[in-house]
Amino acid sequence: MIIEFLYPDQANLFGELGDMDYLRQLFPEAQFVTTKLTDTPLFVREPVDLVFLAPMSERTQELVLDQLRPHTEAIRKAIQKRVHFLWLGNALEILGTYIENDDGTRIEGLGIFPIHAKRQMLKRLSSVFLGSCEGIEIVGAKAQFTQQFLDNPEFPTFCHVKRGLGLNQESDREGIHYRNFIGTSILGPFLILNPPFVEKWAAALAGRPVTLPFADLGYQAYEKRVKELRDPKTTL
Amino acid sequence: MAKPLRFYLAQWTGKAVYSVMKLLGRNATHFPGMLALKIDPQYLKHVGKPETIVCITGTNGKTTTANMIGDQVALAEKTYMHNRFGSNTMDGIVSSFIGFTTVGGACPYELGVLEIDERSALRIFAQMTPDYLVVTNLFRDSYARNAHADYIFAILNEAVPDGTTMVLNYDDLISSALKPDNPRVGISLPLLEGEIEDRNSRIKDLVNCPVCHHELTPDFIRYNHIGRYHCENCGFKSPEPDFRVTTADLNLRRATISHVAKAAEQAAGHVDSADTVVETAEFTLSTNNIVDLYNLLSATALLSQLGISLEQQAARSAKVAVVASRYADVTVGGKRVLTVLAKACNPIASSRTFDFVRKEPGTKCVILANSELKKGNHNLENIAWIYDNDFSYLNDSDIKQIICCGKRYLDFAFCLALAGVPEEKIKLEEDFARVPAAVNLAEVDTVCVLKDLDTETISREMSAKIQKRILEAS
Repeated sequence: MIIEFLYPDQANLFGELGDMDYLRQLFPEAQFVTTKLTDTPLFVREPVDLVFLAPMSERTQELVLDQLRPHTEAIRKAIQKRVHFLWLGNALEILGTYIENDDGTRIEGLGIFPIHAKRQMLKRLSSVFLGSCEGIEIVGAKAQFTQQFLDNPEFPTFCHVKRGLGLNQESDREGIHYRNFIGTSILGPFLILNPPFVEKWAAALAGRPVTLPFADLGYQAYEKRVKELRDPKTTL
Repeated sequence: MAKPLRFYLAQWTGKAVYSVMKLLGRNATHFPGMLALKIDPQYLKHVGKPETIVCITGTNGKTTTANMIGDQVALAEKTYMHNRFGSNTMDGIVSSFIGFTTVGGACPYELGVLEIDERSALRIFAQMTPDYLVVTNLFRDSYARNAHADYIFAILNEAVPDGTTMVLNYDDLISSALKPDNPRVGISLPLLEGEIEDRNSRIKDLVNCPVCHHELTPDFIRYNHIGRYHCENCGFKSPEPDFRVTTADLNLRRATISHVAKAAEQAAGHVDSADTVVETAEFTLSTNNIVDLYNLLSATALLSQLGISLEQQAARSAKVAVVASRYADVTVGGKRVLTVLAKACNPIASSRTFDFVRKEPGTKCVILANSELKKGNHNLENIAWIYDNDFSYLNDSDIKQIICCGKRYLDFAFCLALAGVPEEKIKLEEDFARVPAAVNLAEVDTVCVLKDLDTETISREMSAKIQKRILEAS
């Protein structure tokens, strides 16, 4: 198994280094490739099993867009070929149609998914998050300058929002889930905070059941958090 | 400048509320300012100012640095106003002015020494121009509020007025790039004799060249992205400092600081080109923590700009202490109980404290008391910061026990396990009250209580109970 971490030295803003450590312990036999901002990604040259990209600053997001733009077709093909992608935070926005700045100017996305984002740099949106994905409760937090809007309202999303912010303040849907591509703005670290989801997702990735590292602690923390978030008295 | 009537209404109302709150034993560090701003949103523009305004901001060390500056200013017998006991936001700064100014709004002080919250800089500096701004450093902090270092950099770069003299940490390539056209003074702390570099910090908020985005080559890295670098692609390099530590012995708590003349000053004939050191002096350090040496260096550079010589500062340095809310070191019954701030929601500050305690001599028990037992149902945190801590620092053979307590004790424990800390060393104890009894005193020389500002009281109680247990056992 080959797992590619895209730009982990810069795209790691909200605890995702924890997710990367977790993946290394989840798949100790896998080959992990870390791609730097000035490098060509491995997955556009040869097959990989998972492409992982975590949140980054807005300035880095624009640099990443520039780096990936020449590889748009390769990314599209990899997604169609059902390569697993997990793109967190504002990483998903790179694959959308555009990102609109506060002043109305637009940064063109790679146009792979029918979604766009609007930045409000002086209005940070933060909330805790409770949602559900195919019967599994998803927990985490959201902290972002953007709201996302589907250009095609029928496009498949990642999860249903129970509490917290969805794609935008009006939406009860969150993220994108198309073939094996998952893009979500749920922060956590997303994988560590969601062991039931990881058991299912990682098994699909590996093609076999997986044993989670430190599963007892992980599940205890998860259950405590689910209980907190289900409690209507817990503020968002 | 004539003040508008609404300013006087704000000032009188603020002063009345301030006085009543003080009589009631309240801090009055926030509410009077909030009220005054409701009456006069331009209060800070209208109120009288001290002759010279010094502001201190940055992710880590701003409180300690501001206190060091304030202490030295007081020892130099200069009058100054400050927000030492209050909030560093707009409301807090206004509350400080209400407290220190006359009924008519005049400010009879030579200096203002004001700690400023980075995000509040936009509002504060729109109404008040600092003569000097000390920026200690910029790192990621409070994810829900501060987002990331790039964001805070952009805010400060927009907020700081042109003309304000910047006092910057040239070992931090993020903050040292602020306001490139402003007058500036820089500090640097070269690698000390015997000091071991830490190139493996978990978080580095800057890894690529700010000019060409290629990976920077480090000359040395002290921790995280703090260090000195050059770019082999475009030739960019860390700027040369004006003030630097020339020698330091943290164990003896001594450091020599020099004011160094730059090539341009030498070329202009301001100093003898054969001797680049303008002034040098030996200081007494209040702690053996390297981050406090950075704070001292920033304070020294600023005070030098105010005309207080290095020699004068050094002579008074033994009287400058880091406040107990940050650091307390007590020895009872032959054991140390160390209480150190490890700010929650700030992985760099916490990790620096982890690094500090692991380097302390002897065997240790570390208590992670920087997450509250309960904040009711009020959601105040994005817990992602916990997973950005360098828990690997605590995977040390001299650390015999780590007690995870408070609301996020399970997350702490998970991180420790992920960092390879043997599970038998990790003790889970959610309830703070049960922690003192859980410390394995027989096994350790030092108990390290790592606290947050929000766990101040509970940590102090915990420390007192641990000290009592030690005394009873000795």
